[in-house]
Parts: sequence; structure tokens; C-alpha cells
Amino acid sequence: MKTKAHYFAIRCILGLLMGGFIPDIVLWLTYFYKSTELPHRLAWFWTALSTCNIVGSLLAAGILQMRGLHGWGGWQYL
Amino acid sequence: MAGEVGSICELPLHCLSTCTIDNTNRFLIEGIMTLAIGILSFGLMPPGACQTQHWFRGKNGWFTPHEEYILVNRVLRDDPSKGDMNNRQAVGLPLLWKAACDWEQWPLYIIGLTAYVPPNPPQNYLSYILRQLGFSVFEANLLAIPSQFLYAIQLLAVTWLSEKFKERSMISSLSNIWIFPWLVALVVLPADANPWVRYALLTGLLSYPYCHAILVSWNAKNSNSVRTRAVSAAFYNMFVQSGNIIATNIYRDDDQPLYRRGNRILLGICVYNVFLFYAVKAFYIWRNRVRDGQWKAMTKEEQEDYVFNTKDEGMKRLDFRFSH
Repeated sequence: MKTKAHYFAIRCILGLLMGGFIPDIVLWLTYFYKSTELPHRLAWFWTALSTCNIVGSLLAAGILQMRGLHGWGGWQYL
Repeated sequence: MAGEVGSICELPLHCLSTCTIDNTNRFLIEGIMTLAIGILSFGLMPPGACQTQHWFRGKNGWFTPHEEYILVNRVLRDDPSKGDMNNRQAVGLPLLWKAACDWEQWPLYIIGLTAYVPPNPPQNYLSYILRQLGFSVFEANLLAIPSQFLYAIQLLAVTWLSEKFKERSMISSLSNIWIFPWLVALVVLPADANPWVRYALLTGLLSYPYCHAILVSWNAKNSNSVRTRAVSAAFYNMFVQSGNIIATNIYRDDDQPLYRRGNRILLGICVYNVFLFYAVKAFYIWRNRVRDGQWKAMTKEEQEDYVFNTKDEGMKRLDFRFSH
């Protein structure tokens, strides 16, 4: 990747490939759940993202506290 | 998740980048993890409840034939339209066009376009205000945790509420009703107010009950055919993405640093959204009433004949009623 045009081209392909993911997951889940059961399954699906952000940030914060232990930097433990 | 683990790695790799390694490694790590999850999903995700046998998932599959029977029956009895297409059958161009022409689905797309616009710019503004307070990007991530946590709880709560009351539009409108007072506060907050007050207001705003899960299921429910269900989920998503493009253009440089004009625009969109949710509810009540009229105008014999022989498909069937 060298130029702005390259970047936009690659970003475009990425979007094209990723675009179908959510709609297809939703359709796939409808094969398994009744219409009254679907909403809260989907809700759990979307909490995954915030859960990851929370757990990730906390883990990183904790592990960075190990800075200096046995002469390693915090980021090395991370 | 790969993105998240990637962003944990971001910090140390960023430290490294200033010394020896550049950013490409970060993308490499994210890419490899995404690829690994992608390949695993080929093995872990069965095509359907009756096709769980696979060398990767176990030769006996997840369910006994009896359990499969129950699984398929409960889903089909709840919504018989789920059996109208094979899950390996493609939606071609003519069917895509047909699904797009299901105009009674359009109000849901219109909701998708603007429903998530009001919280979007404040989301980005949160890390800006935190960095203004002198925190690093990493610390700003930590300070975003309270809103992330409340947001997840509220997402589950509002979805549960909708299932409990079997109501979609009014409960979804709670998302924008929640956002309204926080936006008003951000608009009127004096410029010299404590930045922490601004942080608290933003945290409150971003803890809004996200109604996306309700809307997506609503879409699926009202589709009443596999083809429209597949396509409407995609269309709805496209409208939400277009909404994101709108949202990124609301805070402008000449409006910095408080974005009062931007927040007033968001306030307008927020109020519009609340009314929109109610209008869409009224729309579906009206459509159901029209159908009731047409249905009752038929004799018993005509109704029976209709059920078996009609050419109407999906949501166009007169014996189908919209949820709202």
C-alpha cells in the first residue's frame, strides 16, 4: 500500500467482504430461534463488543501494573 | 473480538513502533486472528439445526433426531415462512428486486437511517474531551468503561422489555427519549463548566438503551419470507451505515470545541426519531386494519381458497399481520 488510492481501494474491498456478515448471521440465527426468542439472542450478540472493550481495557490496565517485575516492561507482559 | 485483542496489543506495539517495529505488525496480528476465527467458523457453524454432524463438531452432531424434530417444528410452527426456501438456495436478482419492492418494510429502513445518529458524534467526542483533560488514549479507553458497561446492561434490559410486552416501536423509542435530556444539558452547559461535568453528561448519554436488536428482529419478523428476511436485514444494515455517514458530518470544525450547533442538530434528529417510531407504529396498525377489512370482505370459502391458492407472497399475504 503506497498511495491514498491504494488505501481507498483496499478499504472498499474490505467493506465489500465484511458487508454480508451481520445480515447473514441474523438470517442464520432465525433458523434456530423463534421470532419471540430472537431479540434477546441478538442483544447478547451485540453486548459482546462492549464486553470485549471493558475486559480488554481492564486487562491491559492490570497487566501494565506489572511494569518492572523481573526487569520486564509492562508492555512485554501484555 | 480480534479487533479488541488487537487493540490490547496496540499499546505495546505502539511503544515498539517508536523504536524498531512499525504499525504493519499490529495489523498483521489482527489479520491473523481474524483469519483464524474465520477458518474456525467454517467448522463450528452448522448450516442448520439438522446438519450438525461434521467431523469437526462430532460425528453424532449436537442433537438427537428427536431433538432435531422438535427444533425444526417449533421454529416452523412459530413462523411457517421459514420453510419457503432451502438454506443453500440463492436469492438471485429477480428475487432481490422482489424483496426490495416489499414497500411495507420501508418504514423500518427509514428508522435505521436516523435512529442511531444522535449518540454517534458524542461517542467520538468522549475520547476528545478526555484527552483535553490530559488523559492518554489508553486512559481514555478506561474512562469509557462506565458508559460501555451501562450501555450493555441497557441493551439487554430494553430488549427484554420488548419481548416481555411484545411491543417494538414504543419501547425502541425509549432509546431516543433517553438521549434527549442529556443532549439538552450538553447544549445549555456553559463553556466554562467543569470538564468532568461534561464527561458525566456524555457518559449518561452514551449509556442509552440500544434498540438495534429489537429493530433487527422486527425486520426479520415482518419479512414473512426467507428471501425478504435475508435481503431486509442487509437493506436495514445499509441504512444504518448510511446513518453513520450522516452522523460523522454533523460535528464541524467551525463549531469546535463545544459543538453547540452540532448538538442542536442532534437534538432535532432525536425528537424526529421519537415521533418517527410512533408514526411507524401507526403505519403498521393502519396496514393491519386495511387487511382486516379485505379479509372480512371475503366469504369463508374464499378465505380457505385464498390460504391455499393465493399468488400473494411473503408480507403481501392477506392472512399475515405486521408486528409493531
